[in-house]
Amino acid sequence: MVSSIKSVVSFIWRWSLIVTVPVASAFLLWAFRTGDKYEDLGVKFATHTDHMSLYRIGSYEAHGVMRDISLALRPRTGDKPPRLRTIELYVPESSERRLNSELPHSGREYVAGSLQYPDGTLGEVKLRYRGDHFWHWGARKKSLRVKTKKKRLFERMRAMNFSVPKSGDQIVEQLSNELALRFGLIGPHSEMINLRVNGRNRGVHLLVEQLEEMVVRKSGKMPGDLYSGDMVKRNRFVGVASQLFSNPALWEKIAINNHFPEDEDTNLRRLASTLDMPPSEERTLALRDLLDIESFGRFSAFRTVCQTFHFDDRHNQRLYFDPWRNHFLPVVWDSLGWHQVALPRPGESARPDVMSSELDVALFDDPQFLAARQRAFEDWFGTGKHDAFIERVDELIAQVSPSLDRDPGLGSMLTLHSPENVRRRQAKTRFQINQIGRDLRAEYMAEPDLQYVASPHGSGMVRLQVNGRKVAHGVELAFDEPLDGRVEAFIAFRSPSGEPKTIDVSSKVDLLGSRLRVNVPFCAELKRVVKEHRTFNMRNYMEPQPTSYQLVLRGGGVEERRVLRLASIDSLGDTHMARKVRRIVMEPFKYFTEVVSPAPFGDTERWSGEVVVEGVRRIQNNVILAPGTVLRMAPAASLIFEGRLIARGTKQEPIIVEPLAEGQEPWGTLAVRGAGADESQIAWMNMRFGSGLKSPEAEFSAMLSIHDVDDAVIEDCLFEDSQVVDDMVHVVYSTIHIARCKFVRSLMDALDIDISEAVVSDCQFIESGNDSLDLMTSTVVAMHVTSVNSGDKGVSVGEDTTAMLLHCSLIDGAIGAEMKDRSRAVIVNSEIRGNDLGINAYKKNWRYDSGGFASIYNSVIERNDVQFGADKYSHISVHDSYIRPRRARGKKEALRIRFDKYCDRKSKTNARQRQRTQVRGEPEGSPTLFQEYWSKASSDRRGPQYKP
Amino acid sequence: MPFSRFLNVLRVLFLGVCIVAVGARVAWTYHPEKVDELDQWIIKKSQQAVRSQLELAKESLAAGDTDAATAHLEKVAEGTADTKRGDRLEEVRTDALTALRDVSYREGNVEEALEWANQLHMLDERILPNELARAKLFGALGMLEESKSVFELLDDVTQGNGVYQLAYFDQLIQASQGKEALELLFRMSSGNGLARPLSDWKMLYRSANAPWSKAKFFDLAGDVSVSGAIELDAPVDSLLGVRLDPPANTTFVVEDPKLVFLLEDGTDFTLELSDVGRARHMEKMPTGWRGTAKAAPNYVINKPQVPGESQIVGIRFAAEVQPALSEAVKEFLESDLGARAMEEMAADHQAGGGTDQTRAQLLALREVLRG
Repeated sequence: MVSSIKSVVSFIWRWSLIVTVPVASAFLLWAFRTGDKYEDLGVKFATHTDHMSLYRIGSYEAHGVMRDISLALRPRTGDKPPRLRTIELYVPESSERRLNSELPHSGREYVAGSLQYPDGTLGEVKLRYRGDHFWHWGARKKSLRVKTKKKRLFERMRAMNFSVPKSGDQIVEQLSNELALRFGLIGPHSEMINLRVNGRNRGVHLLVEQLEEMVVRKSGKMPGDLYSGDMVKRNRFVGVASQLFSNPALWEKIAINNHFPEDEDTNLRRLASTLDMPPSEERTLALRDLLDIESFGRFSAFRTVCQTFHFDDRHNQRLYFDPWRNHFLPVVWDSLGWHQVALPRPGESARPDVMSSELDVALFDDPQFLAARQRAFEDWFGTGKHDAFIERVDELIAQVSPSLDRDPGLGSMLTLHSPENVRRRQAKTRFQINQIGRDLRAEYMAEPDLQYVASPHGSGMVRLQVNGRKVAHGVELAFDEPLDGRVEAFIAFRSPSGEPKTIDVSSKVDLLGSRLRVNVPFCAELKRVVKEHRTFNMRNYMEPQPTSYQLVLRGGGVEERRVLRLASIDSLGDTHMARKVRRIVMEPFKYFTEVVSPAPFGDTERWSGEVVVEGVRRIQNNVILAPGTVLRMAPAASLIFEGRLIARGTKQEPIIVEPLAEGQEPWGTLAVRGAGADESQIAWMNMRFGSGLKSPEAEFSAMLSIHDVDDAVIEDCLFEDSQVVDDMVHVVYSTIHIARCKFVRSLMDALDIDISEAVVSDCQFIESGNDSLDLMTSTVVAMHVTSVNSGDKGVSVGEDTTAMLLHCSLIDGAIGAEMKDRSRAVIVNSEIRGNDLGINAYKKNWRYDSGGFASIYNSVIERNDVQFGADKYSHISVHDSYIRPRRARGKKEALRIRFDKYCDRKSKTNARQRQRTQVRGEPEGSPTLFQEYWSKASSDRRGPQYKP
Repeated sequence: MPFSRFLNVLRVLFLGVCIVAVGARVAWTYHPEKVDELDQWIIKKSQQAVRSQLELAKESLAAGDTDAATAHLEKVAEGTADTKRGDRLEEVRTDALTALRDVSYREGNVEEALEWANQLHMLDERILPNELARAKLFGALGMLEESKSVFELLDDVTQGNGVYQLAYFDQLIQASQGKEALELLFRMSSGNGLARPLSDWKMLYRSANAPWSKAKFFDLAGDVSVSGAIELDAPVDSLLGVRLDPPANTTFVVEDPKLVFLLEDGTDFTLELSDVGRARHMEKMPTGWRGTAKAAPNYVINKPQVPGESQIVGIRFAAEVQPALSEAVKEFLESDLGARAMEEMAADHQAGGGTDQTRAQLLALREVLRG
């Protein structure tokens, strides 16, 4: 017996190394990793909430060792191919050692590396770890910031983050980012990726573009100031409160409007001082002036849908100031939607209001903001967008799934999760997104709770009471008989001080036979209840209060008609029956300080004769200028029309805009701006010696400035001798038709069109100081346009513009036409003659990934000193045109400029092929705007067909 | 060594490691609190040397032995030289460098004080009190440009915080930059800041199960010590909160502020208002607060404990209220430097460089001078 035990023990002892070597190796590996991490991040560094304790690090590393072993033993054969894009990054071992040498400090210095581009080539980049908190650099997977060279952007991104997902399900950050874009907000590009470093899988990461000017540009906005407010961790000041909205100096600029000094922050200061005011009508109106209320309404709806409270008074605020609309817009960054802390607890519904900052508090006192938020909800839930988003959730879960199995650091917040665990969490997230959607749909899409009282005999008076959050965007009254004539409408209520008020909203009335619509928002006030036990950014709860309005109607026989029915109108135009009750008591408003905006009839001013203008005048009414009106502008005098401007002179009696005295300093600008000015018309107007107006609050860079106006028309005008500023006429964020105008001797650019859709026809540009037609991020047709003696380009097509030049003559300038930075031009039946450089295409701005592209048809290109130029990012194709002489600047360049076999130097008038053919390089599917103009092109002749 | 013996050594070694591994596993699984204790012990041990030096330095300072304190503090500074922001020892190094800076300054070693302040600046340039000290130290060493640039930075970041502005004001006067001092004064005295704010004070209160009352306005009356009171709408047993709103847009100093709760039986109870942490747009002064000319300053007291059975019928606010800058302004304006600056400003104004606002401010300053 003893000998047999002895022999067993001896056997075990002899073979013990088989067990003890792997166990000891695993233990030593664990001990080394734990000790290494613990020394830097546990002992030396103070992590958030002391999270990196010895116990947690040890547990984490133990799971890590087990994960490594299981991945090493896992057969590769059964793995599904990854559906996420794989990004390959290469970091020299020494650089990686440097990054890890003394975390977290060492990780903040950039080191050199390489990134594989989509075309398979490698590009040099700089990279470092990112993030203030341990979850970015404390775990196995680390969040990286990668910066490319300016000359070689990665998919139009200069700086991007490969972040470790913060949530256990790995997907909510991506979903939050996508949600923001689906709500039409400004936000960075983001996508889930598989990251490989030096050929080894690092697992699922979130690629998020770093916020900078390009994000703003890509969202269709002009470059402007982009502010970041983050007063936590390393950014925090000791000795001053971290309240961002009280102190503009706490914000940092991450993109600048280069028309002003870098430290210019007047608008942020205005915002802070406005928010510092006590609640009042003045404050509400000032905020409306400063903020894009529609965007903030969408931003609020977005945060509610994803239940995020992560945009608070101290951190994670990003604001963009649009320099041409003169409004702040919210920018979404790190929204952390559907975070477990903020999700509804069991048995609770989703929070229907998200009010996490001082700015929110002020906005919730504004019915216009509540109406904008309601519109955003109705658009989201009422047009199928929410359902489409749920489908996207499913799609993303399916995309991520195959990558989970081989992720060596799958987890979150220093905890490793198994793939099954992550999938369970994803299913739960999907369920919660659905539940929250259901709760919010019930709150914002249910039948509105609107009650009314109307006299059975008709008196033109109706009392309304709104209950609940749903805002009525207007009301529709059905009368017993049709109404005849104009009806005036007034909203009567009692202000917070108890004073009775009546606001004229007559211009918001639509008559539809026996029905009448009053298109004014009716909202219930929201009372703020602060629950102190919640964290500071989540303690504001809102309770809707029954809110009464009195609608007073006059005229059109309305006093004699009986109200048969009353219905509320939603933003989609649908009506919902209101409930008739016996009595509504008019209680004073408690929270709304500007209950209804006045909108009376007859707010059109008529100007005629001689009008002397001094200083800056802002006119919000519609204005009609009679033929023969003379606007005599004092030095620096400006007119800013925010209502519709109808300025139609005649050939015999043009409208004149001129200096008050000859030889004086230039006058400022005549500007038309905002949606109120849509459909403005200017015809037979002669304008000279104007300049612009420049202040941080609003800049007008031309003597005629059209900002954010749709369907504007400028015809038969003469613009001469602009002074001081960049442009003679500037159009931005507008749709416009400019016809039969003459631009003479502009100081710099004659007609500057930014982020707009325009047709410029039958116009002449004479001796422009710089470009005759300067286009940026626009879609433009220029037809029968002549530019002579331009100081720079005849037509400059830049920064993602698509242009069609039809029957144009660009003569004797420095450059005929130039295409730059992802822009494409189709040049048809045009003549480019006598310029220093005929047609040029190149990449100018590093923010764009390509140069310019031109497709030229049936044109005459002759006697330019240099006929064509194209850099390596650009391409020019010429079809059936007269080219004389036929040369480019060099051999390499010649390869980028292609002439088809029909090009020759025989005839300037007759085409050879005589049929329209798409040349190589022309974009597939040109813009809709171009379609009707193709019919005006002539494929059987070359050069422009001049009109008589 | 024969091979079998070598193998046995290996076997023993690996077995030993395995036993330690099992021990670690047991500790992690069944005794996490022991791991935490070990964790705390390691952290404590790693910092013990410098922390104990800091304690010794504090004791020496309390005993007035600055030499010993300096020696201890220098050891702390040396021992934490590689400390960076966010490290556990950041706080220790900050305390040590702050103390070294202050001790050096008190001892008259201004250059040394600046050196310590600069070291703290290198650790964290966002500690504004240290930046203020640097600005003053630069000034004391005659490095006026450096001082000015730090003060301007502070002025910008703190957005008109009186503590920083007042120091800047002193600095400008010391540097005989009267016009700049006067301009700063204008910024500091926005609104009616140079008047003694005795009217338009208001109070709100909240009793159980009731919302905040409407604002009740009151004026302060008295010579040096002033007071004003409100009556409650109805007697209450207790209050959940009281909010005191000084007049908006004023710069003022409130010394020795207190609330007196007036009880139904004719007695009263006084509560000192010392915690400026409850205040908005007010800063702590040695014995009171300073208003910072913002739109909506207020002070909120939650659940004031009023002993006794009698109901509360009114609340009185009592304090010494002064315009914040009266003494400094008077001294400056009565000096030749101030008079010259006023003349320069008036000349500027007459030459068309001034605005209505500067004229109003000049008039206000003149009133103060007369008073």
